[in-house]
Amino acid sequence: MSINFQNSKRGELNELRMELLSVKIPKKKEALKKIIASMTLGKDVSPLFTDVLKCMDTPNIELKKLVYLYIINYAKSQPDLAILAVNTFRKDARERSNPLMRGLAVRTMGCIGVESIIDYICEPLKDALNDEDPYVRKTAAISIIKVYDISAERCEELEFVDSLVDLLSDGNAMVVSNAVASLMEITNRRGKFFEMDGGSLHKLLTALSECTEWGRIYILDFLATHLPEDTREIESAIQRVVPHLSHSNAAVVLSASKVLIRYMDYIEDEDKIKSICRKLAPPLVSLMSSNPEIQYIAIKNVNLIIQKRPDIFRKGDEIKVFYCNFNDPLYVKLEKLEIMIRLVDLKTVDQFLREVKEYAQELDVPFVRKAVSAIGRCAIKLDKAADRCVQALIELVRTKVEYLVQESVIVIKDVLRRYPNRYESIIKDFCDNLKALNFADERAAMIWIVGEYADKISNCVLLIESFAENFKEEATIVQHAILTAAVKIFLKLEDEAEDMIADILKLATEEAENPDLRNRGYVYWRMLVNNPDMAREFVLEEKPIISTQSENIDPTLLDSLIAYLGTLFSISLKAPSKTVISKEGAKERFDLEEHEEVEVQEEVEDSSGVKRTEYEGDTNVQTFDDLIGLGDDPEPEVDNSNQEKNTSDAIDDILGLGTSATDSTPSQTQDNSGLDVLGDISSPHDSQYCRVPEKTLVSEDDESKDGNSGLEVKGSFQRENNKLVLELKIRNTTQIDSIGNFAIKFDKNSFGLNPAEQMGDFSVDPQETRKEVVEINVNENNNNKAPGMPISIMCALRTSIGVFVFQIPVMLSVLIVRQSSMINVKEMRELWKVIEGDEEMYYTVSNLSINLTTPQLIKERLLDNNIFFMEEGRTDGGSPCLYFNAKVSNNLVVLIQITFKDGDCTLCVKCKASPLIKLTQQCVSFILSQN
Amino acid sequence: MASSILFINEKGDILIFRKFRDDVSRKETMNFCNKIVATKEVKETPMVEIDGVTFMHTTVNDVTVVATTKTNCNVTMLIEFLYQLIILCKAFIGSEFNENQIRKNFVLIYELLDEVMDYGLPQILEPDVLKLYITTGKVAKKLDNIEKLKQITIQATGAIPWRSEGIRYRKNEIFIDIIENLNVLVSNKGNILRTDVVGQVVMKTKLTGMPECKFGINDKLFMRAASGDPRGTVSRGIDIDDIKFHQCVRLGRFDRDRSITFVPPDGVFQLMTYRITENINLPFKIMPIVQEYGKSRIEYSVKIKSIFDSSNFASNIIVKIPVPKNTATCKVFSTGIGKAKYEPDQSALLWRIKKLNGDSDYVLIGEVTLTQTKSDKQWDRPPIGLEFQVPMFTASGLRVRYLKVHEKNNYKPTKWIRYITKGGEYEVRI
Repeated sequence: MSINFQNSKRGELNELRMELLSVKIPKKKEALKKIIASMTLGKDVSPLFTDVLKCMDTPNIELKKLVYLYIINYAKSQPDLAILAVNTFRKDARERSNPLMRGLAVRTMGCIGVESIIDYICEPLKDALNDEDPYVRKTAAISIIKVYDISAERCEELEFVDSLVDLLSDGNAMVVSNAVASLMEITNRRGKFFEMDGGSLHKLLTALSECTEWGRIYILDFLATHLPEDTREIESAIQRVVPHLSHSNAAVVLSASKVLIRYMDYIEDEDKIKSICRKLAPPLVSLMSSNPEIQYIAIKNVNLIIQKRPDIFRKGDEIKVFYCNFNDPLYVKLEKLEIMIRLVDLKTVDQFLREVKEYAQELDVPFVRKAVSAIGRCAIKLDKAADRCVQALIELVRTKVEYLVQESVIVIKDVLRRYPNRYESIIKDFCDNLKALNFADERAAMIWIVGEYADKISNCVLLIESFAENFKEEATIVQHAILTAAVKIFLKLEDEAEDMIADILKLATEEAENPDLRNRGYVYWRMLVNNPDMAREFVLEEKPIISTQSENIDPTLLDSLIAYLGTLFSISLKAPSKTVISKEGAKERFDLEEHEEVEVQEEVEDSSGVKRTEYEGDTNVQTFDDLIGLGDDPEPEVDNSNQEKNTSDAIDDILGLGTSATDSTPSQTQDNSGLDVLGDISSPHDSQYCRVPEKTLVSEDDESKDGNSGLEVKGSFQRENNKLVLELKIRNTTQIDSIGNFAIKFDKNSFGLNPAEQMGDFSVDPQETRKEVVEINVNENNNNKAPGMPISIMCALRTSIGVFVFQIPVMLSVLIVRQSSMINVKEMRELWKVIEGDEEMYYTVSNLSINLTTPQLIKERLLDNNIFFMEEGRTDGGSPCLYFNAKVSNNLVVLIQITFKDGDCTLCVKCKASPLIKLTQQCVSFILSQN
Repeated sequence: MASSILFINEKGDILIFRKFRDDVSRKETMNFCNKIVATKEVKETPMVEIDGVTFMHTTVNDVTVVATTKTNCNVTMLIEFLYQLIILCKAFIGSEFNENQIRKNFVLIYELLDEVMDYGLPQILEPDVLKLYITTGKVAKKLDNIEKLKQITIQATGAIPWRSEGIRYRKNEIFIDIIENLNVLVSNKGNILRTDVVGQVVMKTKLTGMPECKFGINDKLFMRAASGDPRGTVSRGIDIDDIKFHQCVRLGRFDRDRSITFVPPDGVFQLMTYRITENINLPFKIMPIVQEYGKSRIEYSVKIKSIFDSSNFASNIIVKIPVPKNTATCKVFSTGIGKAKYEPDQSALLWRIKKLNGDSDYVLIGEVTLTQTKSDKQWDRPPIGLEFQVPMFTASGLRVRYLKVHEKNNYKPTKWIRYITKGGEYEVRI
């Protein structure tokens, strides 16, 4: 059989059409195979839809399957035609003699994701749920999610969800497990609704040992999120789950581990817990001899499990299992190192060091760097072994291999900070290797060391001056480091460093383009002039001890991640924000909504140097934290919120700004509040977030569906504290009645906006106005259609005088999230080149704000609106331009180029999703036109 | 769960594209294909996220098999699914899994995909039962008998989907292979850093009816349990760190009394895998001396010593001795046994020995000269690798004690047992 993969032309379509009309079945089959081959290549063979449908009514099952395959592929784009196929489906679903045929028909029907299919499918599906044959029933169980995804309301109306619960009592294990899989999917969509009682637990446990490996995974995953009420039941479930740790399928093992770790929280008996922990370790270790993909997943998961239950790997020799093999893929090696650092203790530290030094000899730079940094992290973790680790680092530095020196500097900075006054003698070795420091991170680290140990480095002033030679070209983080180091040196050496500090302060305040750096320069300057003693107190303040504790994931987040072992969340370390899972938070333990993912705080010292640069967009925020000069080390997190509070109060006093800033409590966790403090200290830079002007949504004369009027609603979507909200002003214009009973609902929309909560219970008295802020979730109410221009959301507002329906326009700026798009400059350049043609547009901003006179101001303005600056460049015509990127709530990235020529400001927007281009233009020109 | 399954060739062309849900479009999928082609990124992780779509992938020969999703799904399950899908395709195609075969059999693969996954959820992947009702190709049989069809569906969804009723053999036989892969890591000072054995028990069954089997090995815990003396005065037997079983083994029963009972599939299958880290007998010792003289010359002296019983022998030994990429000439002065050859594409000197008796040793002496290179990077001295097979030897000491077969026809099958130890990740650092 040879299939023609060549270009299909119009003539070819006709030829295929003729073949389809043939009476001979083999000929029809050949034609369909050709059609499916072109479909695979992505060619459009949809014009043949009607012709293919004609072949459907055939007793030949092979031909029928080919037709079905074709229909599934095109049903979405040709819904009207797909409905024509329905009668054959219904006929097949009634075919008494062949259960496989019935199953096939029910399965395929559900794949036609068109709402109108529901009317036709519900009857055959109901029959299939009660079919005598288990094959048909297990297929029907899955079809229910398909119906649910087409229309959740209809699916509930037709009581399909309830029949899933009934299927849990089915005698066939595969039917039960498929029903469980369906229930789980529906739970993910609408929240937990099924209560696990003793009866259903028993049924699931029985099915667990009888069904296929996949069915076991469905049941185990379901058990992990649906805990039995009773402790006795929990214990009996544990007994039945433990044997599954010996299954050959890694997913069964991980899901079983997940159930056990979750259930262990509810067991009091310490001995029982110990015995379960003992059983967990060997199967997890065995996963290390699987294929690399599974190894990778397993290591990521083990990393979480160790944090939750450190006793599991207690024997001490498990660390050997995670030694890297020469041929392991890099992604496995990096993760193995991560685990080795977690497991290393005083007993194993010597072999650990021997092993890691071995890795430092290899040639794969990211791996070697990680190995070097592992030595430093081990030093920080184990006080008693620090000497040996530092010795190892010095050996590496003496090799003078560039990347070894670079990475060593970065980690040694943390080591010095962890053990003050212990290892100063080694600084000399580092000072001998300054030439190797080519990248921002290690330069900043070295500068920090120079500043911190100024009294021990004789030529520190010269060193700082040489670092500052190319001050303007340095990365922001290096500039900050130079500034702080210079201040420290000046405070320690005073006169000797006077010229230097004057130069540096001048550079920082006058030449630097970064507003944060300028502000910081001014703060230092004023402090040094007005009250040098206080400056000394703050800048040379003893630093809080750092520890490796900060590498651990926050316990609440950890608990929610444990519930997702084996899933993508456990790899990306993301978890749904709404999941509150702790032993105490009893009632709503497992509200498993998948929406609104939050980014987990970046793990300290991320895997490779590459990643650091990716977050450059965020460094501004980060560096604010230590503006006060407490320390230059934003990486290991320290608990210094108290100190910081004191100092920031004090600074306010120095600057004579009174108490205006102290309202907002500065703390490490709230970047925004830190910003506020600064905003007040340094008036030149106010946050310029552009609020969207409010619109009248319902005017006084508009009538509700019941024909009443008297309500005026104004409002708009806004972004507040990086959350999307809908601000409404509701005015009652009637004379007598108060209006109450408010509720709001959105129609499905392109960005999936949906109110996160209902409006509170309130009423508006005559002639009163009430301001209401409704929090909005994104990505949970999608209609999977491209947004219109402008975007507007159809909204229904229920009130005591009837339902008002209106449109709320949305400005794209509120949908841009405060999160760097994670692309670095290089990727951006590539992306910029890739997207061409009609997906890019040029547009001139006609009413550029008069305040935005320089590119720098434009950068600041856009940054305040979550549009991040990437780099400067030149257009093909040679005009200077700026590149920006932003990330929309549905994770799409838009790239923006702004060109200045002859006083005109031209935008060019690129995005893979073309509807966003116009919206972005509108949004950027709005932001730039605000005064 | 999965939104679609794809097979992609090395150039990034789509060979198979089966959509299960509508949330990931073909265009979004192409992003991944282009990424593979454009970069051939080896450092990529097995899960890649591009614009909100996660691609989970594994590569066999020249084909990358991919599952896509936009939601949080059980990624372990989907990766396992991909592995088994590949095995299944091999079983149906009956040959290697590569681009050519997939292009030839694409209709068959589409039909398989329709059965093995429904709406992104893995369903039935047992080749034996699927062969009963997949219609494409030579396996197709006439399916018109209602009773027969019922039997198929019941088997497919039942508790023992891996074995069908009514299997008959004139001669009942069982073949058992105990294959141990020995993983060793030796430091450059000759210290053994890590050893473990990953073993497999592979069976080939030719048994009539629905036989009930019980398999016994010299597992210390089991022997203690069986002797009714849990403290264990019985000192024989070996410590097994962990065992993983084929799905036919009753896990509950094993957990209770560590006995291995099952109804086997017909034909070849892997009954169990196990891992052992204690009391491992190494069959060889490698003693390398690798001396670099400046940047132009390296001298090698590699000694291999077999330390198992002299009545036994090892076969197909390959000592892979790494040499730098800029090797100009490679001279071997003496080997004593076997042949040594420089293989530039592997950057290694391969010393092949057909057969090596126990308790003997040989030394390879050789010299490599290097060409001048611009980079002053050091040679990273990769470890020496070792491949071998030692029949009738288990590094762990595992032995089969019995295999009992009960069937209502009450036949006595013939049993065949083979033991073999192979080199797995055997690395000797230099």
